[in-house]
Amino acid sequence: MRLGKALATGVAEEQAHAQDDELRLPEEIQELEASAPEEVPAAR
Amino acid sequence: MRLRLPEERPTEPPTGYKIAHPVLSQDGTRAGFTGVSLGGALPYGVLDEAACVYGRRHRAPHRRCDCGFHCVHERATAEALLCTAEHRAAVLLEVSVLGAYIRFERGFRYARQRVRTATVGPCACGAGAGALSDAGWGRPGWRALTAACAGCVRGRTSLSLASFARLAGEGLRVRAGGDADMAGGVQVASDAGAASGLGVSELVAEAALLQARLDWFQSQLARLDESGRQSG
Repeated sequence: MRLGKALATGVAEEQAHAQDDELRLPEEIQELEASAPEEVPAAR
Repeated sequence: MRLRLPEERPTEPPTGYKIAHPVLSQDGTRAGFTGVSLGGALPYGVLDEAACVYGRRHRAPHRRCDCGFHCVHERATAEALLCTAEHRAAVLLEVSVLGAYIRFERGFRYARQRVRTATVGPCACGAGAGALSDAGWGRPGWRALTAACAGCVRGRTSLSLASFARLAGEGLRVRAGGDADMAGGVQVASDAGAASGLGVSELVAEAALLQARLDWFQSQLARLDESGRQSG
């Protein structure tokens, strides 16, 4: 297959299409379980 | 001295067209394609990566080699290749050009490819294709397939267009195109579709194929019955 003269180079990537179910919002907001204690550095 | 080519970064993968022979793995579990010229020895899947066919240790496509997947910009250019005697049994592929590529005047040479649609021409008898059947040649581990109508399949290894699409995976669509379709005319073909959601036309084609298989099976049974009676 003769393609002729080279004109340009490039890089093409497929766009990641998000799945429909990934886009759906959760029906109810779940409360976070007992809040974890705030992390503080114990030592340096 | 070679000039540095301008670099481009398209937002969408470019679309190209090419021809290839559909192939089925020896164990019948995988389907793909094999090229009609340079890459003919290396069957590829619906989503696949090119390797240098000369075994050189560079990434395809290399500017000073002619390795990598090839396609042309225009559908009509690819369809024209189907006119030659040796390419009559090939199918037309619509592909997405992925990864690194070199854009030429009439097409692309590139690193990765997604085959989006395969358009299958008519059976050798002229009827519309209902199946892809053993073409009588192949590559090690792969049987080449050719378009066949329900009447011409007979006892050959074959699978429906929808089954081919299912085995090939990655959302490949396989269409049966008539002469008008292959010549760039009105789309008259049924869409054999991706693996899911077969339509009426696809189911009719499946039924015709099953009926042809059953007719052939019954004729073989009748033949055995006949020869049994003659010897007994």
